[in-house]
Amino acid sequence: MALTVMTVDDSPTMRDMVSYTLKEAGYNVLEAEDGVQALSVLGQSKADIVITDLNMPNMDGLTLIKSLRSNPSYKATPILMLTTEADDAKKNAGREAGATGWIVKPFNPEKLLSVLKRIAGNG
Amino acid sequence: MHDRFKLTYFEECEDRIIEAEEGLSRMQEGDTSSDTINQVFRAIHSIKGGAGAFAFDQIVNFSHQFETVLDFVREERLEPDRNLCDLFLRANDIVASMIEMEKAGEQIEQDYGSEIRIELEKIVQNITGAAPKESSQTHAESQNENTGEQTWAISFRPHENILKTGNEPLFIIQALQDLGELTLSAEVDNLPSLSTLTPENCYIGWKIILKTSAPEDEIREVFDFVDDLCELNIEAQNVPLGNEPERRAPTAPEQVLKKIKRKEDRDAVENAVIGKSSIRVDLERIDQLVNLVGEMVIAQSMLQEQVRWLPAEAGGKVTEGVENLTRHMRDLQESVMAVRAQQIKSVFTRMPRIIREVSNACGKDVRLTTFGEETEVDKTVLENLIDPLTHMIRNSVDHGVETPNEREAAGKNPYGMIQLSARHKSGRIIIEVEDDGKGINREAVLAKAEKQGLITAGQTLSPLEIDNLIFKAGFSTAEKISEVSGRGVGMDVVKRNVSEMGGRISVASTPGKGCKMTLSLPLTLAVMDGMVVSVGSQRFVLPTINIIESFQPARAAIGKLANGVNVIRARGEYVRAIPLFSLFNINDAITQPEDALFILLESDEGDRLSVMVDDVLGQQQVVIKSLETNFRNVEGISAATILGNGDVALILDVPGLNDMEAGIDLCAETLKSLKHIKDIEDCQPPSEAQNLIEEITQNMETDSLEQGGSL
Repeated sequence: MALTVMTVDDSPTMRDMVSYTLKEAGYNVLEAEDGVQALSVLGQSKADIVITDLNMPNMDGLTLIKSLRSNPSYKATPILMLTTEADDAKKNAGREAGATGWIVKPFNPEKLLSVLKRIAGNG
Repeated sequence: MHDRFKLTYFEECEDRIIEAEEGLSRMQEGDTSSDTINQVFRAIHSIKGGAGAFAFDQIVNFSHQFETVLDFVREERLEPDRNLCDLFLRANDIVASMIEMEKAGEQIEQDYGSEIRIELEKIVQNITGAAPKESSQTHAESQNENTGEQTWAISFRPHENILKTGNEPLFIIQALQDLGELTLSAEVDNLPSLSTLTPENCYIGWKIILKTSAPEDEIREVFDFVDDLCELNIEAQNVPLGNEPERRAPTAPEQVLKKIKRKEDRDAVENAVIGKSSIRVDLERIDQLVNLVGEMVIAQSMLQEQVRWLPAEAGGKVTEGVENLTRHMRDLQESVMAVRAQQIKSVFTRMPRIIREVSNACGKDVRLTTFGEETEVDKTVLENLIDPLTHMIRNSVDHGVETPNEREAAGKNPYGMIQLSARHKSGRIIIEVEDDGKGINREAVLAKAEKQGLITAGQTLSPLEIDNLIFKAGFSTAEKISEVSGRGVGMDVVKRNVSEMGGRISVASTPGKGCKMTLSLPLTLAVMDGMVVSVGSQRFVLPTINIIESFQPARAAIGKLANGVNVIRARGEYVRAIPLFSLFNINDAITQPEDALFILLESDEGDRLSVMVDDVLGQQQVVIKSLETNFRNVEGISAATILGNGDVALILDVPGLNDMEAGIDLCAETLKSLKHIKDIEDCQPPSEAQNLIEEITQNMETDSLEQGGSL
């Protein structure tokens, strides 16, 4: 069965691009504009992977990651953070919150897919 | 990259620029809350992120610099004073223009915005004490072109907590397998006894022999996310001319990190409210929906018309059904219109930039306050509003507000104030632009109007009439066409554009104190409630909103003033009476006032007048068909519509009627030219109604005096 990926980003451009790339590759995609919405969608549908932006209104990415990690259903779910800078401070903050890994924007679609495979296998 | 993403990106950028500008304006007024700063930061950050995806390098580099300085403000390392906010606003303008250029497919000059950029770089330099770096967007990986196959010995010992980050060693090993040939052995020496084993921990390590042609970088990349979660050792077994690539040393400036974290936590708590969910819909689809609803309103009124002629025994149920339909139709129409309604904010937020541009160009200091930004109006009205409003604002800054010296000499604040406000009033949106400048120079206006032949010498005009001369065609008071408000467009063009969409513009000036321009527009350009009246064989629609009452006056109540104006006594006062039959030269109408009906009307400005008609036929919702797109603008008529019997009727413009002086033989001509609007409808009326339309149209053409099919 195809894996379901939730993409969380307040930028419709980014959401659109991530979701297009993933759908082309055969993933199911859920979308949310911020952490609050993501939590509410994830409360109803299960995602196998979460890709989240960090800086978003209402609830930022790190808070989202932390609250997902505190939820038994998402304790070990691969969560990628999408960041603009590949700076270590961000990565460490993400790691501390429980992120699995990171993708640097602008992302390369192939890279994204290979990373997904590396953290979630072939489904 | 796909064009469809670009489109989304440009759309998003428009919103982001406005968000940033709005936030910056608030910062300029002293709001330095983390919410506001974050809003601006996020906007620029998103613009940059998207720009990177489309390789808009200029935008990336500029917004990177911009964002860096914003980040200092966010981290409270930099005080956002007025000067800095000004710089930010200008930087935002540069980003906006760059986006515009990319959107238009224009080449952005290499040094575009460099002045601002240098200023931003200086700030970065001051704070970090380092020379400004080029944007770190290029992450070219220096790879050894290494094609020969090599054997690698990899020791991978995950920490116990690796699974808690969602990293799964199995998938990592699978990813290694994708690179080449894999031999694997597990190391289980750390495995505890079952009683002390925690199933969520990882106790196993692996020794891996990998035969691959992939370079070391690529192998290390597989472990990218678990760098800090495992003991990793990668060694080439038959080392060729190996130059060990540097390991990236993770440096964590803990203090900064903690500060950001604390702040983000706080923000998250503050913002933990349930977000509203929304979707983006192509405007075209909504427009199509609005058009279809319009057609359905027409079809429904036709149906309603036909039902009336059914025999009572057959009609009962059907009439009930049609009445239900009518009610739902109205709800549907209101809901659809609400979808297209937007807050006027999106137009208002453009204005600070206009004011900055114009006031910089004329050396003035102008501040803007806005009210009623949340007022909603139909998207099409909103779009049509931008140009007139921009022009009004330019005009206020350029002609209204004085220079700081002039203002001080007049005992005013050195900076001028412009107040922009919006509100709803009786089915219209009223927008006011009020400045505290010098007001209209009436002598100059009079002299100019005389010179232009707009008025004759010695003509006496009230101050208000003089002020409103600026809307007459071919008028411009500026001595020379100034760079700013000129642009070859005068207030007359503004007025024409405004009246083309059923709007009105007026001005009230107090010399030395300031000037107020008022713009009034219908909330929607699609439908309205109207009263259908007949004058001879013609049908007219009066906007219900303007109607006070209809009445049959006693003979004594009708009078004529010395200047030939008909008046009628209504509600204790005399108001002007306009016989529509003579205004529009209809010769089969009732001509005796005492036999006719009068309708008392009130314009949005509060002026009262009455029109004389033959009969009132009913009240209904009518779909507005623009005159200018189907014919041309006609004084006293705001639009046309199609009635339930398929007949085209004209919608009267009440304030326009008030301004009209003499009879104009335009009614028949206008109707004739509008014949085709019935034929271009996508939704054809039923054939029986179609016949009726043709019959009536023929009647109109042959100037037959017969009564057309009654409504």
